[in-house]
Amino acid sequence: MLKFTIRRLLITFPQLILLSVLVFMLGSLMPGDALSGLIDPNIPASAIEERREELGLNDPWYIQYRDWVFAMFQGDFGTSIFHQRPVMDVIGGRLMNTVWLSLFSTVLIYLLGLPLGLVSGRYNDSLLDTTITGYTYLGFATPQFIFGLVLLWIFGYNLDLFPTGGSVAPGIEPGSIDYVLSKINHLVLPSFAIALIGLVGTVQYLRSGVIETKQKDFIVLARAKGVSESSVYNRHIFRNSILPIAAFFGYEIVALLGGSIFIEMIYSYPGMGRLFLDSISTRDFSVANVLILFYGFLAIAGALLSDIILSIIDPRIRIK
Amino acid sequence: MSDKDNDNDRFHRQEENNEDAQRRQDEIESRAVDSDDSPRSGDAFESRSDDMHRHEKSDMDMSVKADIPHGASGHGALDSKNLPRSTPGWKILIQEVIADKLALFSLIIFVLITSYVFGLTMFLDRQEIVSVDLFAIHQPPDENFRLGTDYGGRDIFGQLIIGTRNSLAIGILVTAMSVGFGVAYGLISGYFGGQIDNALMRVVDFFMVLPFLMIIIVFVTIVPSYDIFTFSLMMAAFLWTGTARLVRSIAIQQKELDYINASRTLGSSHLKVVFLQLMPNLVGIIIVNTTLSLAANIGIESGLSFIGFGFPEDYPSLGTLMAYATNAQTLQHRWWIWVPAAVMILVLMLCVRNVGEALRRAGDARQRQA
Repeated sequence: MLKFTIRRLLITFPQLILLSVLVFMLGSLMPGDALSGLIDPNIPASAIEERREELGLNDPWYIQYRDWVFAMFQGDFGTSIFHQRPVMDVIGGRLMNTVWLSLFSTVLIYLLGLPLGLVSGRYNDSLLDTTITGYTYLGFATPQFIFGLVLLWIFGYNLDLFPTGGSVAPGIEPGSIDYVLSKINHLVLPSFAIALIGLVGTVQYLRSGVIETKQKDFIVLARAKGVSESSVYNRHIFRNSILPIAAFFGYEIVALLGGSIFIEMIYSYPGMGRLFLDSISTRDFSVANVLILFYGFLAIAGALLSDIILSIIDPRIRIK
Repeated sequence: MSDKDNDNDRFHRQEENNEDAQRRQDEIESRAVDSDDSPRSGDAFESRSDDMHRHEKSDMDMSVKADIPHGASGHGALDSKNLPRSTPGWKILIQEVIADKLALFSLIIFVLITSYVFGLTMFLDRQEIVSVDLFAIHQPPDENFRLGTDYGGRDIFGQLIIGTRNSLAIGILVTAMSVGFGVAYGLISGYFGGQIDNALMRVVDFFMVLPFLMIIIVFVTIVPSYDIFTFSLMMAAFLWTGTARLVRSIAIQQKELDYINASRTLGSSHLKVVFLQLMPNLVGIIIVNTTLSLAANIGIESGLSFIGFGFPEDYPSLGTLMAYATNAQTLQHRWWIWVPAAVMILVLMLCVRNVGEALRRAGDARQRQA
């Protein structure tokens, strides 16, 4: 267990280094540098050149890369050309919104997906199961952005039940009960848009897991021992079919964070995905670059988390 | 858990040095093989080939990997979680699609749409459709414009037809490129095994943690000009990993079989064995994977165009039409602009997926309908 975790940790380092090199290369391909925002006809070109030399922008790439990495270790992620603020400040302002959105969606996915999958697997080939399976079929074929738009169209505009954009109603004092309620109200549509499409995978895997497990010998044995039907499903079968889903937990969260670009755009939700698109369209590449690095880092961390969860929960590994 | 192989794979990676667990695992594995209807089951040499297997597999995969392309989870391409249990041949695939009424219906709809769209675009004038007509802005559907017009007075129906063609063309191109490369990569990795496999799979691992949507968006922004081909190439550069992993996992099983050994003994070159003898045996799974990837790629492309990083406006795709709906006025009051495109994307993806799912079921004899 410990050995596995350490070995698994070790292979994340080359991945991190490669990721950072790639992001650095992307960064140097992007037009503009730290001085582009400062260019002013009143400043002579020689002065700018001097500044460039001072900031090390004329150094060979490997020295620049080294400086860039060292700066990041000291918490310096560069300055946003558009906002004229440190990149970390700009991202920090949006971070919590995306975290809340992902948290809500994750809870919804498991809250809705697990019962649906269990019921569908338990009563397979019943009318209920056919309905649920039909839904997963549709869900797999529906791109998230279309579903998000349709939800917004129906519940946001036509029925006017939920706000159509933003993360909180304007003019509410932060910290009050109203503020929290308004935040939740703004989260409902986007998180359902993510969850109702995102849960189809969970439902499908849980369903086939339950169907496969319930034919196994140990289930027959449990029944023969007189274990009640609900206990057979809730404890014996559920525990065995949940393994793959639990193992994908890390990936799920990362995918949610990454996939929120579309939803944040549709609902004008001021999170990191939205920030990424904004910074691309304002050509604020220093922000975009750090966001790519951040998402890549999250993906590596998510993969690590999933692997470690699997090694913890899988009894076949615990036995040894 | 729809798929045992992936499960096994995962356990494998963690129990590298644990011979006992390994043996248990192999047992489960061979049982899994027994339970399906593949031609391999009941192979007298199975236990022997499993032994050989063990050495190959032992140092292969440390990391546990989901075959979910990052940021596109649940997009439904074939991955090792819903792997067919065997690799069906041509005949079975065709029989299955004909027997499955839903799949047959979907296939017919898809072929009709495709031929209609490709046929009609030969007669439609793209210049005329994308040129601005200020006297016909935001017309609802009437006899002049079958589906109304957009903010530039451009005919939605014409844009829908051209958009469908472009989306399909990109989808097919991206799928061809990514599957082609992925198959070759997976075959080589699985067939040669050992250090080559190890190195190749680390590259795949790395590609899979990249936030590929973001990187494509950045590329689209900084590359000054691109056409259908380069855009597809960009997408394909990130979408081949699933196919590669899938093909590799099957190639590893296949290469232990006697026909490969026999052919090598007779002096066939590696090249001949891999592409003329091993690959034809994987054709079923490649077709299934291609179909399901096609559906996914159409979705990804329209998503990219939707957020404005696909094709420019005078080269409409279905996503471009959807993008008009980001305007609240359009979304609310001018349904004719975006609803047809949304329906078209749904119909296309659903049809292709239905066929793909039927083909996938053909790989499992217990689920076959034919």
